[in-house]
Amino acid sequence: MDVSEQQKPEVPEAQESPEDVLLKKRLKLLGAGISRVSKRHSRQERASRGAGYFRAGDFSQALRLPVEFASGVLAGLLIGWLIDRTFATSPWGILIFAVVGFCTGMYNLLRATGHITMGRPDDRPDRTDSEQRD
Amino acid sequence: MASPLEQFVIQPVVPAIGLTNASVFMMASVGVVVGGLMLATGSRQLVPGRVQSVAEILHEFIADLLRGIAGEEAMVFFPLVFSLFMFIFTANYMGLIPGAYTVTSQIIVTFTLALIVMGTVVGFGIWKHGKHFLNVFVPKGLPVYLTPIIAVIEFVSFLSRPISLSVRLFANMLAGHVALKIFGGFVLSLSAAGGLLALLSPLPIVRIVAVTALEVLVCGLQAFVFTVLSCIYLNDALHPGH
Repeated sequence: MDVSEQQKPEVPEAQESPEDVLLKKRLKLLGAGISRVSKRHSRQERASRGAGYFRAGDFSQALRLPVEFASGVLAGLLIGWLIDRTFATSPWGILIFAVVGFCTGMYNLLRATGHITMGRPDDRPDRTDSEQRD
Repeated sequence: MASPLEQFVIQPVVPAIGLTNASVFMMASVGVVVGGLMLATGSRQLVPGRVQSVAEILHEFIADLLRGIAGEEAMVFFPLVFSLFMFIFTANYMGLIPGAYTVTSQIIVTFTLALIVMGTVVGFGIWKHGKHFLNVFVPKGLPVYLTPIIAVIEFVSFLSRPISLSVRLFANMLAGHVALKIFGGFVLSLSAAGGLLALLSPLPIVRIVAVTALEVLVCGLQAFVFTVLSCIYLNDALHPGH
């Protein structure tokens, strides 16, 4: 019986029977369905894996950002204080550089979150969000 | 009751040569790193055993990190980056042992480590690129009228790097250990309060377990973050401004 069924389609090889057309249609539908499901699966898998991996990344990012901002302000204050001390310009140095330090803190934040990329060719495209440190 | 900050007091161990508990634990962590790696690489088998494969994994991990961030030519810095990572990693985890001294909770230690990194960046950058190294303060593709403003901000930002690098590590280690001690203190004061409150005294212990678990994560993460940022900064020494 197997043999007879296998031999059958060899005869009308040239023209496609209506069954073949139907079969092809069904195959296409099935293929589309499978790829849809597998795409959804891989997306779910990525999402669930992301929950594990990226939490560590996000966590380290969260630990990093406040310090990134504060260090800018601190560095500004330090420079201002040193200028005041050496040139006896108190309080102007510390006032001006506190503002500059605030700007620097913001700048540091933007860079740490990947909004400013320094225009380096090796800095942008191949990095994922979690890797955009500085 | 003991203050939660008492664990960070530096006490002399051998006063004659200025040996303190901090320096003892610094030497101990260096000893653990060197001894462990010597033990691991002592046999040098083609098919690594357990200890040897741990050493190989650590080596590959840091090498890949450095190569990925700063490129192949950055491997000249590998000894520095690997030593930094191993020292901070070991010191952090040794600090978790009850009764041990956490070396990285002292800002002078972390700031010295950060200054080593920034000193290398500046020294190597000037030696390699000379005046061209100043391009690190001028991002490429910047409009001319913005250059003076951004250059000042970049300069301050550059100075803020050792601060952020050291403060992050120091603050995380300090905060974690203080939190542990405070929750430990809660157990004592709750049980001393007596009555119904004494029944609540086991609760902070649950919290201590949770904070300890978090600390285990933070210890590794902070060593990793310090290493990643060092790699990024060393990248500046190799390619200033681009």
